[in-house]
Amino acid sequence: MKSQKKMEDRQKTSSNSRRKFLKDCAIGALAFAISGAKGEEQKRKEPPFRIRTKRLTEKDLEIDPNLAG
Amino acid sequence: MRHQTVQCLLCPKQCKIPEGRSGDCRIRINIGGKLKAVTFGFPVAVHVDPVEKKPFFHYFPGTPILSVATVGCNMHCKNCQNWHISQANPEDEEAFVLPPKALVQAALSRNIPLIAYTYTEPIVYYEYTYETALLGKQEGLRSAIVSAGYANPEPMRALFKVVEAATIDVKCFDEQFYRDICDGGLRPVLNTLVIAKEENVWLEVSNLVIPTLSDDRQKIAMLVRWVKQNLGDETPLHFLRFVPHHKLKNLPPTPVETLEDAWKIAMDAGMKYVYIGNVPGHETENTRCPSCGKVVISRIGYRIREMHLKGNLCEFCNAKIAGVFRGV
Repeated sequence: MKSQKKMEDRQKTSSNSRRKFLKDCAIGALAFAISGAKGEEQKRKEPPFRIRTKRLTEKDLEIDPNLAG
Repeated sequence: MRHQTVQCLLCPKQCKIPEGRSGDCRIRINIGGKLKAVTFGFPVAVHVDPVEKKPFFHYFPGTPILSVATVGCNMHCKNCQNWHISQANPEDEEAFVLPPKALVQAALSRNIPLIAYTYTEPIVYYEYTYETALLGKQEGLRSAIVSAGYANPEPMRALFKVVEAATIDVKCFDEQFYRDICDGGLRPVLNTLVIAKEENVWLEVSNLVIPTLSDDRQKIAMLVRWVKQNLGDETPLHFLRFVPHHKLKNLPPTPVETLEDAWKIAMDAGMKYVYIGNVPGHETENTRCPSCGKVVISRIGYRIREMHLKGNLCEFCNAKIAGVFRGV
């Protein structure tokens, strides 16, 4: 009787972990699909595109030691 | 060409570009069947540097130079220090609005006599370089390019009519290196150097010495021999220290001894002005008079400590020092 109870518990745990595994797979697949879709969005835009601009300040003109040339 | 495809003839890649696409440089784009350099007037880097930083050691030493670059490059060097702008798309980087007239005005208003087209590859933003240099010339400014020289002869010859000085970086005297590391070729670069010489452009040559990839003594000797034969022994030659960047972070910085070996190879071959770059404080940063051996320009990093020149003459022995100097 005791061993049957143990068996049932084990089966329950096993099916729980299988369910958890499938759930994780589904979440993973969904995340992958979303990241893929984002990748599509990040693809290079076709012209005419707008070049983003910024104002030139005196600070910008300072020497940048990290830039070669 | 048919189907609105255009061919860019600026560099040896001669990209055939379908409508709406760019060439290999990312910035020359086929818009409605017409090739357009979309970064014209939109530099992403604008700095006032000492001219020594380019490097120019014999061209107005100690003078500030307004230095600009748009994004884009026609090569893809694995060691590129400026890859974040050279390998960027024009729509990805914020840019300054500086059409030729505004850029020339920016230099004039700050009393800066020189403009450099540098950091990325001025050849790919050719129209911007050309038009600004031409306009600057009319306003009394001098223009210089810092380039890898990977271009077709016709546009380079035209550019050298408006640009007065060039530092050309010869990556390695080896076609295989150009193919594998840079996605380019050596022969067109050598052609550019010869054209610059023919057009009386002040020329300095740099060579980044990368451990295990471009530090072969024989190849350095071949480069030196070629420069001496084709450009002359008075051409300043800069051996630059590699610092790990971009896709070559696995390699160590160039040992100073390797650079000193390169320096010795060039001096032994009879080159008159040989320098080691990116090693601040190294003795070879100084310019010595080839005649009397005394230091005529003393440098530390990009800073000039002392100058002993009367125009272009050595103050000690009156021998002529090659270069373009103030008051000459």
